[in-house]
Amino acid sequence: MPEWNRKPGFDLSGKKAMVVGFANPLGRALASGFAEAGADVAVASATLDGDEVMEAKRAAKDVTKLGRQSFSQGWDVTLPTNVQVGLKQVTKEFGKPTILVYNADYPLAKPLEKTTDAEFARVQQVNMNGAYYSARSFVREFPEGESGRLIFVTGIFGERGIENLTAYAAAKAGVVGLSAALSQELGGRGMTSNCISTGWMDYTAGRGGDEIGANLLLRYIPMRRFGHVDEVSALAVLLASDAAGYLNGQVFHVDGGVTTHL
Amino acid sequence: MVLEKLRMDGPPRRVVIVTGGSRGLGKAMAISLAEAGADICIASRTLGQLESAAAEIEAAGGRAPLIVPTNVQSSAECDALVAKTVEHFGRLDVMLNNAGIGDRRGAGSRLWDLSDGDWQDTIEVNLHSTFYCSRAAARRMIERGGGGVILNVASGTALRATPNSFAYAAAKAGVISLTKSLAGMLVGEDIRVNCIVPGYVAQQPPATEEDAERLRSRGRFNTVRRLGEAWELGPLAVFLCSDASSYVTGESFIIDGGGIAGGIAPTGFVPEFAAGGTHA
Repeated sequence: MPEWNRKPGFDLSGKKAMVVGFANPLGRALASGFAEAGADVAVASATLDGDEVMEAKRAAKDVTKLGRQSFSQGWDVTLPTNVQVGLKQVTKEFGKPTILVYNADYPLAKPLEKTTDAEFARVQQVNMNGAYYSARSFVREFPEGESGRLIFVTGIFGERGIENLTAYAAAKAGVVGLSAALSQELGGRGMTSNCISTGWMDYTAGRGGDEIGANLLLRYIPMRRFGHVDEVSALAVLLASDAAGYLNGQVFHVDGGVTTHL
Repeated sequence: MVLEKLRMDGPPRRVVIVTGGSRGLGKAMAISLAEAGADICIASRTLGQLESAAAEIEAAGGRAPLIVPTNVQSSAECDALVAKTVEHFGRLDVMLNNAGIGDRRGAGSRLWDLSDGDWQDTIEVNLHSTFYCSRAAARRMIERGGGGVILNVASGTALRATPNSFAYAAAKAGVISLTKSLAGMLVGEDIRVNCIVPGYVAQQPPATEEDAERLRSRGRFNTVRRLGEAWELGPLAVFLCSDASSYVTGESFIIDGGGIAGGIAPTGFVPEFAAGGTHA
């Protein structure tokens, strides 16, 4: 009997991953998940916000505690040159990453007519422009011939309408389009591009309380609870692995069933 | 920890039924689930095929699977499949509804040529079976206090115009719809319902060089310039059947190399126009 050349689904041994964006706790969980699966993980904050930079440093420490290599940087993803120089330095000090996760997250909840130009621009820049710049630098530095993985963490807010999230929704939807186009442009070169779209997580701003009776939103989520970071990382490990070469161009929801409402 | 959540050897060790588990995608998923530590029951019509698949699954997981010859067009046989599995292993955690017929019955027929029988067979094997097996499994799961997973297998044909196999496509679209509704219904019983939607996937490794060439040639038109291989569904099935996907329900996971994502232009087509959108 002839055999396939099967690859293990949740093994990242010998791989180098890059996680960008630590404004929410998911970044740290993703970095640890990759390290646990065997990857070396470089990390970069998406902004120079002090808390985010510190969170990225903590993520790097988690990775080294798990016995893998790490390298941490503070990026400002709104500046394309900064991203390009940053990734060049990652390449030099850490090696060329073949897995990129873009987890930058800059939410804004405001009515359309009250949103300022500066606020709108900032939301687009951190959530979407930074994704574009990071992907572009990643592909520029990519070691041709290897298999590559781009994973964008987006939110259901970019796919379904919700009041007071116009700027954020536009930016997140932009990332979905970016990923779909990349899936076609890079698919023939051994790279895949996918989105993980999270629902209401236990760190989502403006979610309200955890009491079902008091929080109408919770009654609307089929699982009646908010998601946790640990419920996202296994999917990222799968998408990053060599076994995931046929998963491409998709938006995978981790949302407690909320998008089944449509 | 991430990797622990992807294990299915417990405690308690998870018990999975895979319909259509004797070959192709079903067998490939059963092998991966066995490797993750689950106890497996495979069901299909043909005993001989079940026996040879059982040997492969045992080699992968180190534990003998249960085999139950089943015609999933019969609701009584689907009930019996679940009953036998519970009797043998003492529990049921995952119902993987993979049985289906693709291109055999009435494929290629024009609307006015398709017989009642071919239409009914196609809908029965692909959609009725999912209902029968899900119902039987959910009854057992709920009797035992709830908790479990139903994983369906649909097809990319359900999401796009499929003139060559319209009955099959309609049945598989029904499976996707059932996935969402059942997810909403069963969430209170802690039963998650999800769906894998494969695009073009080769069912087994090519046996001859001619076969391999045919697969390569078909793969040219796919975004990733190749067809999928059955084993590639395995890790996805493990993710969706294990605790690692605890916040995922009602979702359809498309695995098609990027075909649906890019389906508006031929593979490799590169539009060229200057910024500003001036079409030459």
